[in-house]
Amino acid sequence: MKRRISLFGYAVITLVIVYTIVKLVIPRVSMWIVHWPYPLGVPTTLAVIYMLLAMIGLAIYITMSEKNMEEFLTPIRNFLRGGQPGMKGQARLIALVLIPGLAGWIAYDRVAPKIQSPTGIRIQHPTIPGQYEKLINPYRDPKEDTVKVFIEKEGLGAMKIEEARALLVQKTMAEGRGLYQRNCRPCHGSKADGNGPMALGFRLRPANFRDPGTIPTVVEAYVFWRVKEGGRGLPRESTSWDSAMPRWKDELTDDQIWKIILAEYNTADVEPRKPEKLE
Amino acid sequence: MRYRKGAITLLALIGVALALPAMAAPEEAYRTFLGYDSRIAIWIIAELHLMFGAFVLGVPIFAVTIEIIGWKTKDPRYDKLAYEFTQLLSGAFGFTATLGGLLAFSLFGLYPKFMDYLSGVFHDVMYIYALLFFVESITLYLYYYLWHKMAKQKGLHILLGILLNVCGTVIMMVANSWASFMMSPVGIAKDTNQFIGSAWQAMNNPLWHPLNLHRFLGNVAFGGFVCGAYAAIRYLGAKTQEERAHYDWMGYIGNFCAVCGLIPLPFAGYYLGREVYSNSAVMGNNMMGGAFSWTFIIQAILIGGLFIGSNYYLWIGMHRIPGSERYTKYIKFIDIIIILCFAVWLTPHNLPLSAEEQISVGGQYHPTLKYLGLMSGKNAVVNFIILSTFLSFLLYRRANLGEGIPFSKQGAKSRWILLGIAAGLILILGSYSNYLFHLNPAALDLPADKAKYFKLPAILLLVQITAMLVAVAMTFMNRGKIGQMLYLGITIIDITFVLGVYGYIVMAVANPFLRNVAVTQWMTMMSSLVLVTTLDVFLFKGAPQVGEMTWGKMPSRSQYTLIFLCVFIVMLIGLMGFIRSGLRENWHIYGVMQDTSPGSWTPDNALMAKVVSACGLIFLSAVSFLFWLTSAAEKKAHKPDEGPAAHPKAAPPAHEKTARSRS
Repeated sequence: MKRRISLFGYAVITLVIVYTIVKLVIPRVSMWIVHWPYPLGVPTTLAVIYMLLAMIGLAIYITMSEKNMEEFLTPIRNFLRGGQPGMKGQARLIALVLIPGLAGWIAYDRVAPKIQSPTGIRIQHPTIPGQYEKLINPYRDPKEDTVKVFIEKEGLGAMKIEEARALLVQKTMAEGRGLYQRNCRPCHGSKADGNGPMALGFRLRPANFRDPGTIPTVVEAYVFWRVKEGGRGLPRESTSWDSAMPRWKDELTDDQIWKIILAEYNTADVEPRKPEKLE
Repeated sequence: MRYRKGAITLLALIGVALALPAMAAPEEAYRTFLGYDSRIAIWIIAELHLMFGAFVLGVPIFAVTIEIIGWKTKDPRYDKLAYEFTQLLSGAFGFTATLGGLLAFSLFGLYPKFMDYLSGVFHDVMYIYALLFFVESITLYLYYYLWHKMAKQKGLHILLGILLNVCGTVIMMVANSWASFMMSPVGIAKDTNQFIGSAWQAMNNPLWHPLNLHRFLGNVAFGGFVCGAYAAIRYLGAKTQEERAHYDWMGYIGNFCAVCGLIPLPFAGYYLGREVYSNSAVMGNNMMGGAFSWTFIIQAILIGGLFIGSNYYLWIGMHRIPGSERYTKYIKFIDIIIILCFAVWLTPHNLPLSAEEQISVGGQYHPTLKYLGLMSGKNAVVNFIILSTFLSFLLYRRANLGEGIPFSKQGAKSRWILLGIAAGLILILGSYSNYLFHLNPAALDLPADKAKYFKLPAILLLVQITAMLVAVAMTFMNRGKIGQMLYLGITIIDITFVLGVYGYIVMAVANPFLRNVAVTQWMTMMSSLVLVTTLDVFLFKGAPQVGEMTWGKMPSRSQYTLIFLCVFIVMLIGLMGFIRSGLRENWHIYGVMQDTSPGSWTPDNALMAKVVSACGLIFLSAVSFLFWLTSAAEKKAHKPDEGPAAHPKAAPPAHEKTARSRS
């Protein structure tokens, strides 16, 4: 049975559908999902990847059998050979002018100088400096000595070590929360979701700590480094000029930073990355 | 004879190299390579040595397997094929040894202080290594040169082949222990950085076995694709239909062996990656999110190319199978699934953006597409890709088979085998499910309330067991095909859609457990591969063939695909070699001995691309030369006036047993 639409036609329709999904559907669905005020366009690099993959998928299907190849090439051959009567013939002429014209315009558009910002690659998690690598948050699981000092200081003589440890963590957490709300909330938000009252003022939005791709993927020492040194402490490949993160070592003590980190994970309802035990 | 001489010379060279520590002047830490950058020289030599090594270690694994199949089925075609694979091997072995000698010389010459330290740790093992190399070379020459003489003592000959594989694997493991020690050293005194452990302790470092597994599988895939390219070149230059048929078949077997190695490879890579992270969180961060993150995007493209190319080759091959038209209509769906999966696989978490794009999406991440860039999404789709590739093989296998004997009439043996395999799988899945149910969160450094996150994967394993029982019961009721599809379908839903999404939750709230989620996905997938294949064997037992296979009727583009696959795997092994070694950054031995040479900086992606491409080009040129030598030697052995060759005759274009052999 002969198809009503040729394989060539199907290929063109498929590419149009994929293009529509990339350019219209994904931006609008994304807008709807994250309640954004406008459609969230697919970045050019990604759009090119998706379109290329669609073309590869089509090329695979078309060249998989001689029959498919023939069916795909026949309309192209007929078109190039010409001889179509009336309107079809004229349409062919128009297409033969338009297609090279379009290719020429795209080539011109790509190479003609114009004002545009360069596309940059940003290293997401730059190498942590050696001095931070082995640091451990002293407040996450306080050592027995620290707990004993706490018992003594707070006059909790009869309390068991484990109970006192939990109490100490709770107390530190409360302090950390206060520090977080005072120093971090304006940008990162009271729920640590990156939606603080000042968030919209930045070109690179503050990190959303609830996102599993942010603080849950790194160890606490990494966060400590980022908080302490801020955007200015980022290496060049991480485009330090893009980050508005202050250098908190000028404002906060190390102890305060650790407390904030403890509270930050808790507020975001995520866990820090822990190196697994080696097998 | 020439190989033997070459090997002896090279062994002598290695011996000299091993004695070099005594001759080296440890006061001088670094030297240049003939006035050039010593780091790049070492990089190229080591990479080429590894590429040849991968070929030499990978090919014997399937050469012996094919020989065993030939011995058991008494089909001379397999024997001829195994011999041809071994022919390629003997030439490459000389190259591997030469490069190994050169690498040893260069390392001791250019990095004397570092090698002084390393040989101080491993000197005993180095002698064993040299001895093993000696045993391997003798075994290889005996295996190759006595092939025809031992035709009547096949069992003994196969034993030689197995010994060859054992030697090769142990050699690889020894060399891996050195490389992995440099990444995850053990037995080091904290204050002095001096090695105070034993050689065995140093060998048995945390990354040793993950690296062994990854390289072993990688070598099989590498060897298969390189052999596939050899067959493709011979096919394209074939003068007779008989030759074309033989090389078409050889190309198919090469691709099949490669895919067998490729299928478990992503999981082995994941295992290695997790262990790298466990050993050093900094190394782990650098690898996937830091300086090496973009190389992983390139890796994803290359792996994508391998899976797509292998499937494409298989799909073209369907058209040489009479009866395949019953199944070719499904291929477009597999094509769509694989392309969609690769769209996810290739989506980076962190995107290259212009300033305008950054503003429009509000940052460095796209608010929705960023999730596709996380490990959980990647794990989900890679399992789906593997299952789709498996489905392609399944369709290929049954393409020209009619209806098999109903299972109920296949006798008690079939029933017991099926029940035995199902019981084994149930035991494995059940044990792991039980382990997850009783897993103590403290073992993963997680608080007690996180135990609730362990339940879903455990329950899904029980679902999988139930589905398996249903599939087996349906087979007993002669409804095995439905049972097969049911099991495959449930596997896909479980590992891609349920655990794939669940992984995001685990990532955020119980990250260390993500490894167990990945293990659950992998176990479920492997159980599916085993059970569905077993069912397929029984479902098509005694099935008549629809028509004869027409080997040697493949279009040229299929052969170019095999060559493309070879180029891709060569580039991939080069890239991964760079990543593994580069992760140490400015350390010879991570955290113990710093690299203070002028070339201690981490190469950028541009330099990496140039050096890896150069290595790939040199390797492919050298391999082409070897292939040419092999075919020239073969032509000499087949002079027309001398009649047929001494070894088994060329393969017939079609064979009654062909369909069986495809399984």
